Amino acid sequence: MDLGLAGRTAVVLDPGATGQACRRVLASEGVTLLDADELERADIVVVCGARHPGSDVLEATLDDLYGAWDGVVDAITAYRRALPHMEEQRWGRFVWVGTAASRSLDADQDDLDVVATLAMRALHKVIGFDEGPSNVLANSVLRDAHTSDDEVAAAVAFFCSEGAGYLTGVTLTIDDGSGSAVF
Amino acid sequence: MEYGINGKVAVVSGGSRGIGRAIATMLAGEGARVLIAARTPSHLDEAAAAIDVLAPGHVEAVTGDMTDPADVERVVGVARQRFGAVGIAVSNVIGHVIDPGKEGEGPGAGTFATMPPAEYRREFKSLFVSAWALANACLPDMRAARWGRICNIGSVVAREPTTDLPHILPNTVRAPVAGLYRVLAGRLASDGITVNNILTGSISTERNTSYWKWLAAERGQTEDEVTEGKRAAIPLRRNGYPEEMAALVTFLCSHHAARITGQSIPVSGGSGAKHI
Repeated sequence: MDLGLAGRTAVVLDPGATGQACRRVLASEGVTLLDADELERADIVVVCGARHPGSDVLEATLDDLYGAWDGVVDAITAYRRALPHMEEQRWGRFVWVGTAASRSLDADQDDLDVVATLAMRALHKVIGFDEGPSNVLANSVLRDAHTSDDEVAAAVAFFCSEGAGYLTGVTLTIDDGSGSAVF
Repeated sequence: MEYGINGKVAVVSGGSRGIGRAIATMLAGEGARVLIAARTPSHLDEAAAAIDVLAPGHVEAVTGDMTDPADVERVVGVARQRFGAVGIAVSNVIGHVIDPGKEGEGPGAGTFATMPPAEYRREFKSLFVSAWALANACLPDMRAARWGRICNIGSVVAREPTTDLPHILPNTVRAPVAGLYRVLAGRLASDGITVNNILTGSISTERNTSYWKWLAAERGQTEDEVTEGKRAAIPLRRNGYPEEMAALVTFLCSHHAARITGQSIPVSGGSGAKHI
């Protein structure tokens, strides 16, 4: 499948293995990977949310909460740096990688990631309306503990592709169908 | 109908005006002993005096910043001291205002493309940290009693962001609060504690009125035009009353609602497009 990504530029924000997998897949599709200080010319921005397996809002400290929220603010900051370029060329893709527990609680417990992911999903919904006319799209990939980095990367690349050009404010949940939410 | 909350102790943040005041009044009317907390002493004193006329001895007021966990602990401590162990916690804190110098204006105006990222942190403190801190501060009492009612006054935008208005801050932060409450509901059900989130629609309060005024100026319309336009989008064709918010919250606090938890329930006159 030609994803139509050859010649695009991307910044993937995640020092971990998921980010590496995303970079590898995007590069194999002909995307040029940029450093974080080159966001102003990125066509694609992928942010992988921090993961805190087992985190519990009843045990969390205020610093834990603000730490999780800083991840949201950092993502917004990165998005905003890339936005003018995307608007100008009328093509842009934002992708957040978060937790399937933000859809239904029978997924793994990671309360801090639920908080961040719900914020990003809501934000993406608004970006969908605000930036749709500029063809700047924002979508989320949701994972659980069994989701591999390669599966995440494939879904991220799909969201960046030309074929996903009518999708914005939506999520792809990679959980083997284990979530109980109707939709 | 007997609600079974006579003698329960409630803390209502943002309890001096609008929706919070209506909730405090109705809870006190059902026999609860209510501590209202807010930032502005004059509004608090006036509300407490009015509630005390209806339910003598059932209300206390204390000033506090309910977005600061340390202050929330202090306020809850006052409730405990004056009335006893807390059983009902209603979190009702508004978010960002357009111009903090102009009291009563609506939520922070701005779009994704214009809102400074740092403002999201302030909104998180106002809406999320306040709800988290009040629940946490009251939990020891509720767990010990194996009975508790936690309600947050949220917004319909948690489920469906407003897209015709520049409300990027509440649009982003209300949804995680709904998630927080859903998580808490699961964790606390076995302790006899219910946790519900009210999705506030268009309710007639001072803040709502001043917000529509602001919107009229922003759009170059008359207030009547804005009012008509907004009402046309509500199936019941009218704003709700603060008492209609209070009615739901008070019901959720009753023993009849012991098995209703983890819900986000709109009070919106039927507005909203989402099926569930």
